[in-house]
Amino acid sequence: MLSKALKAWDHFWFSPKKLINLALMRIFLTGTMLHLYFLRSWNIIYFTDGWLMPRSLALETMDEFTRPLWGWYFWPDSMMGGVHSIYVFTLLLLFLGIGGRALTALAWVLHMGFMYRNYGAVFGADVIGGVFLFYLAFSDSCARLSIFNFFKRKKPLRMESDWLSSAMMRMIQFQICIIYAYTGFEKLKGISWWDGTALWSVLANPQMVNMDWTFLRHLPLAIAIGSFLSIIFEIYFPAAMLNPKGRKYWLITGLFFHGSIGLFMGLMHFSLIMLSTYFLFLEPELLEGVITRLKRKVFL
Amino acid sequence: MNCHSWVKPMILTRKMLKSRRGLFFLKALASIWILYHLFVVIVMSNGSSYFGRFFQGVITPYANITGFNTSWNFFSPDPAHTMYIRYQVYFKDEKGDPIKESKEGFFPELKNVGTFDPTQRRELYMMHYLLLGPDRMEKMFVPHICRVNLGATSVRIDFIVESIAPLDQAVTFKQETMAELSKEQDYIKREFPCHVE
Repeated sequence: MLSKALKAWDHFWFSPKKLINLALMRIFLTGTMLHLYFLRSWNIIYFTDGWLMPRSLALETMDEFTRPLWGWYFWPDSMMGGVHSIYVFTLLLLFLGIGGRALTALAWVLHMGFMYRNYGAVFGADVIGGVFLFYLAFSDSCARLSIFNFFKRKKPLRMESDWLSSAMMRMIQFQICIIYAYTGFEKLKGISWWDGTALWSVLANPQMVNMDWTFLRHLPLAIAIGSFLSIIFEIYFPAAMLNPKGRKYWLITGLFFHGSIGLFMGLMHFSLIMLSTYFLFLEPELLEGVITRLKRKVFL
Repeated sequence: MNCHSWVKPMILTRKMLKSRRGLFFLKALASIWILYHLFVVIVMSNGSSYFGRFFQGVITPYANITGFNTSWNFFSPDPAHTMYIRYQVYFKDEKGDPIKESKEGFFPELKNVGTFDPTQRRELYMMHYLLLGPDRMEKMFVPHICRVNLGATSVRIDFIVESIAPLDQAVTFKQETMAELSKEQDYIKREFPCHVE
């Protein structure tokens, strides 16, 4: 009995999995982060004493419950620009598939350093970007779809993950399910979500959207349907991922869900980071097929 | 720590990966960490719950260092109303008479307008952060405004909330614009002195 349970545990977490899924996630995640943090290059002042967050208050002003023991920003403020350039460069290398666990770990440390240097200026994309980068730091995500693979290699291309990378792929799957489920549960605590009018509060708020959506007051039912669908999508995401038949419909819904958030609310980085994890739920054969077709199109 | 002490564990790990027993040991270690990590992720997602408080000492140091100290509450429990900070910078002499015309400003600068620019979005999140801590305004925002406005003696802060009319109201009064249906409320309304360093 115990032996069976251990075998099942070992199989679930550590059995080899196709690396194509992880590699595609890496490209989407680091590509999105590369764009987001390249744009941040012009606002390094946000992470120095020149703006609202003095270094001495960076951790002190955080809530006691969430305050870390150290802030990861080991470098002085005067070096912020240089460190940021290194961070962006590491993201570029990871995007191209150059580097491994050590480089990803370095990128994560630098990412956390910037986050904790001014936690007030952190938004959703920063937080989930850090979370997924953490898991990637333990995995061999650059083994596939690396720019190095274009050159002649002495060793054959590794197609399957090692045991630690497999575990990280599972962890990311768990993590995204937890994020969705809790986001849905939190919404149920809100009167307007329970009432079916919350989407209106979002779309009618000029700070949150990029165009005037108030014409939707002529279609109030659409607001209610959209509000309830958002909650259903989020809460049942984990259950849908357990069901191979329902999974694809949920992922397609998620694509539209995040596509809308990205396009209409200006949260494209956040949406792309969330969507990057979807690759881990897709069949590797499907992804290999797409990659092969893409290669043929590019090289012929 | 010298170079030797870094290299030794790496060599040992490589050796362990090659032996069956070693691999079993490493997987067992990883399994313990996986269970702990998942526990942290689940509990911290609702960190203010009894579970969160009970296990605080065991999970928060790890969660806070690794960035898993977040609760996932996007647009919840209810989406926020339009809000921003309006500030007035005063320049007065020792007697309290104005020596220069006061200056009005907003934070975020765009006030109540949405943007795709992640930089300006950060200002919006910073504004929320300032409002959520009781002394953040005094310790962070006021000194900054005083610093960038040379000669400023005090700053008056108004926290403005432009409420979004509920859907039912917006549907009932279709002939009225959203701006007409919205209500502006002022909070804080406090003047802070600029401390001369």
